[in-house]
Amino acid sequence: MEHTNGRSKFLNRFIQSINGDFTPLVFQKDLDAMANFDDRQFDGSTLETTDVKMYFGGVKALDGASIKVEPGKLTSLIGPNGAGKTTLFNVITGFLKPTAGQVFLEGREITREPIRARSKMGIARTFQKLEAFNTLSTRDNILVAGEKHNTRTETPTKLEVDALMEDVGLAEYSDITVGTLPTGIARRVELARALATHPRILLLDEPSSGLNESETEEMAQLLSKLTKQGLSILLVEHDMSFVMSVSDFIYVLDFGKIIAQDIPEKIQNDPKVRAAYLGAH
Amino acid sequence: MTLFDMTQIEATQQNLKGGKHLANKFGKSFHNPQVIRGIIAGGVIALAITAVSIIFWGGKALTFETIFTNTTIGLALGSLYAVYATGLVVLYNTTGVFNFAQGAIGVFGAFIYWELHFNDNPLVFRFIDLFSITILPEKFHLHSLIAMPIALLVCGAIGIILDVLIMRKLKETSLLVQMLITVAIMVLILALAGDIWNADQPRPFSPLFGGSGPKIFGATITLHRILVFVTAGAVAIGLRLFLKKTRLGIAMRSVVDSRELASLTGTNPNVISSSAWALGSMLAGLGGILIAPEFQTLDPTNLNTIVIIAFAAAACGALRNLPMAFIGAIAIGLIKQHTSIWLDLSTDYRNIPDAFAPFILLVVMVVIPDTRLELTRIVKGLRSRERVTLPWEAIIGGAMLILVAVALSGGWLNFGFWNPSDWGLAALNNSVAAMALILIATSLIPLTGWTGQINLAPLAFAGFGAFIYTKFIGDAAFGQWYWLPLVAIATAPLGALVAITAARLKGVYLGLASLAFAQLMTFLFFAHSEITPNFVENRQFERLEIIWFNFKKGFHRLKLINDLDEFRFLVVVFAIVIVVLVFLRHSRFGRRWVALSDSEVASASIGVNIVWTKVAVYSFSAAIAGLAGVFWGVANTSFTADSYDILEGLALVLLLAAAGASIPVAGIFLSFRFLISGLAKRLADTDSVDWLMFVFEKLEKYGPGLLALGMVVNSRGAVFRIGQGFAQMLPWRRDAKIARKAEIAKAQDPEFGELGLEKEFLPDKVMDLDRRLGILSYSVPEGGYEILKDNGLGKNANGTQSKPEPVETNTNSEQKTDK
Repeated sequence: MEHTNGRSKFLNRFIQSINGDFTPLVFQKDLDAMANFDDRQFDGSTLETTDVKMYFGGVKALDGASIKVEPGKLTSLIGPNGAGKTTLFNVITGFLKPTAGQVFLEGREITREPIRARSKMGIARTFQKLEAFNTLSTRDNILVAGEKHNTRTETPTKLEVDALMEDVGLAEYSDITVGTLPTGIARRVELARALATHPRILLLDEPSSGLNESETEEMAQLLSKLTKQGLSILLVEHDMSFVMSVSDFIYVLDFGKIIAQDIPEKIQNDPKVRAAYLGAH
Repeated sequence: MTLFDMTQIEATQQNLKGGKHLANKFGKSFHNPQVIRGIIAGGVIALAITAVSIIFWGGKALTFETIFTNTTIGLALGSLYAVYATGLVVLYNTTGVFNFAQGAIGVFGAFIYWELHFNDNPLVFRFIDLFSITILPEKFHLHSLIAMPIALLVCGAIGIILDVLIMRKLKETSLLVQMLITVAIMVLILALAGDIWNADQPRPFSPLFGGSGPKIFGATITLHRILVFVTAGAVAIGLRLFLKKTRLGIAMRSVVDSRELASLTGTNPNVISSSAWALGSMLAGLGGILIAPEFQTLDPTNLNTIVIIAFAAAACGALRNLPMAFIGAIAIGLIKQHTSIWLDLSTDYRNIPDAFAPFILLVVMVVIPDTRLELTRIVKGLRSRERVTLPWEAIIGGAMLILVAVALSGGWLNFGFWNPSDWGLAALNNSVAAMALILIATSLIPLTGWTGQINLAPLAFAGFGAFIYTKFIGDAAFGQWYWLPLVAIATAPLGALVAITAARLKGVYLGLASLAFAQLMTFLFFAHSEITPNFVENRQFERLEIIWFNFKKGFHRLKLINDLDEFRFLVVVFAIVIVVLVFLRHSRFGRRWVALSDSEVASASIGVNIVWTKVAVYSFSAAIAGLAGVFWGVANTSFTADSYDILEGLALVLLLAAAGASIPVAGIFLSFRFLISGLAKRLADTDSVDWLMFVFEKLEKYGPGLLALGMVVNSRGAVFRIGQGFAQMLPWRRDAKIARKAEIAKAQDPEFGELGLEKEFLPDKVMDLDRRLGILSYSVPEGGYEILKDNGLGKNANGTQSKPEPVETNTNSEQKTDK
């Protein structure tokens, strides 16, 4: 894969093409750059929703939810089942158009933008129910997300994809069809795919579901590494210990309203939050 | 939760609300997107009817009597469609399968009834006569009250047989495969009915009660029609009550959601699905028997066309709602009857009354949203490596294909017995036709195989391309090859049009929309004299002139006047198309197409423009189909609508699916059909072996359907299997050998499951023996055999454990050396 052996660019391109690889050519400078992958920086951005309302007929899934995700911080969204967490995710990523309220990315209103435009602006997400490209290999899952037209940046080189897979712990599964991988690993594929779009904010919908203890631990480490690299993360999660260990800030959602917002230590002791979880209303 | 979940919740919420606050229902229902879409669909249809009425108004006097008579006829027709449609809706509600074979089962029922009630010499006796036993009188007619239940029971039995033998085994497969299987069943039953009851013999079918009935307002309303109307109404109401109120009905509806959950509540899902199939098939039979008198004579293909109307009616109820389907059926009946009476239609537009049904089907399918959540059913198989044919493999393969085809057709490779000149013109023409159809099928590979967009109308695109050629290039440009891209460019927008209208559709909905599109093309486009000039002297295809190469003349111009040259040219085109496809599959376009078929939601979330991606793939597919349509036309020498018939197109889709729609070379599989018909013709030319001829004929007829049924056991297609086997012989495909070993290991010992891959690394057989004896307390060997391991490392397979992927490192290094 190191096309640095003095062949002409044309010949390199030809050999690469007939082997079915249409990613950009890799040159010595790319190899040099590879050393710097570990201190990669994300251009994390602020995400804000103001008074978002989402009604389904008579059901108020969201009733004035305002949250703010600071750049380079991991913000969590918790709440009992049916509190509207996923609905808010869908509003932010454009899968649902809210009944009222606005969504801002870096101060720019994006409430009416289509899903793909938001993706290009840097919003990436994973899904609660696994939505990987099951018949593609891990590598292709990442490539398809990173390719030109999809993102603001150029198609990633093979080396960049390799580095990303290494980061997320997928190196050994690069050529395996994702549909045949176990859930925990497929979740990582989904995460890597989201990262390949060069996000500025990453929305994770229950990344720890289906993972065992050690995998959850790895996931937590990965998330804190990503925030250190400057990525903003919004997390929806049921696993409280996981949330408390990784979050910088927590919003608690119940019946479509934000009932509490604070740093993890304070949220843990908030009586309103306890009441919501125990169902005392 | 996905986008579709949300729409579903939305719809449910609306329903709940509507039930609770009846007073608010009409005021608030305008906020329901489904109601708004329904209104839009109705508006478009009403607009079309008005426009057609204004343009083609015949100026007949509107008397009360004629209006009344035709309304009653229309109502009766509509009721007939309703019987079919309710069968479809019930089956869809209870099994989740949309049964394309509904019409065919109805045909079967009608024929059984005809045998018992009308035929002087029923089938049963003809069969007994084979054994030279005559036990019953010469003429024997069963009373309709006896004949009808028997015919219905036979239909019910067919339904049960279908469920037990086929449908039940498809639980795990995709909805696409399920749909194609029902299409296969349709083709098979029609072929069977055509064989038992050949179309040459007229089979009069008089209405019940001999067509008598009371006179109302000066018009005779036959008792048959009254009975039909009453029956349809009773069936619709009865079924609705049955599904909503009775225990069995509720159980039936629950099985479709989850067989496992349903069985927990004490219902046997197998019994339930069988009874659903029996019920659906009996309704089809009833529809068939009641509708048969509307035709002059019984004819399988004629009778089957009703099914499109039934589809349209079922579509009006979003495939699930019985009352709406009933109303839709009645409306279609009325529209059809009235338009055929009041409009003055020239021969060009003679099909307009019939075309309303596919039109309604198309509009409704495009406008009414997909509320049904179609889960991707993932069958977790062996952990497998993705291996797609590499471009250089395709280039070598294509070159070999050309060499072999040229050598065989030139007689250079004769293996001592092969002599192409023996084969005569018929066989060669067959090969040309085969290559053309293979190319049409290949056009579906990016569309259906990769992007997952089912298209039952490949021949409609092909026909359009052929039309462009005959109209503009054949005559004007004398078939110069460099005009061919024009055909592609002209056909691509048709594909784009379909893509834009059908962008939101998936699965069954898309299948139905494409079928409606094909039917509309047949009724309106191909039936027009501007397209097919006149039925006696059809437009001839100008043969192509191309640049060709051979060693004697070098590059030279060549008019493809003989089939040998044409055949070789098509082989070259096919090889080029395959290489292009393989390159595409590895490009970002191909990747995006496959991703789109895997998950539209995820594709959108990573920034893929879904509509444009679909437009691209549809246009590309249509362009190939259009080109291939030209070659198909050349093989048929003249441009006739029959060559682009829907049933022919369905057979094509079935064969491709049976071969494996995602594999570029899968089209070659279709050549078997022509090989067989070629052999049959050759036998007819020379010393004819009667029984062999018979076998070949039947093979040609039933082949596509039977092969498609092969998807029951092998949903990835036959070529995939063959390819797997072939790959093991290639020296650079060690991965294929390893995969095969793993598969064998799993087949021998399913309990090993995913461990199959690593089985050869297990220390020794003692461990295996221990496991079988349930002894798990041996010491953990070195190298990390642990019971506590990460997810997906096969803990469930047995108590022992192996390293995650020992094979991995092997093949990785393997691949590196490859490149």
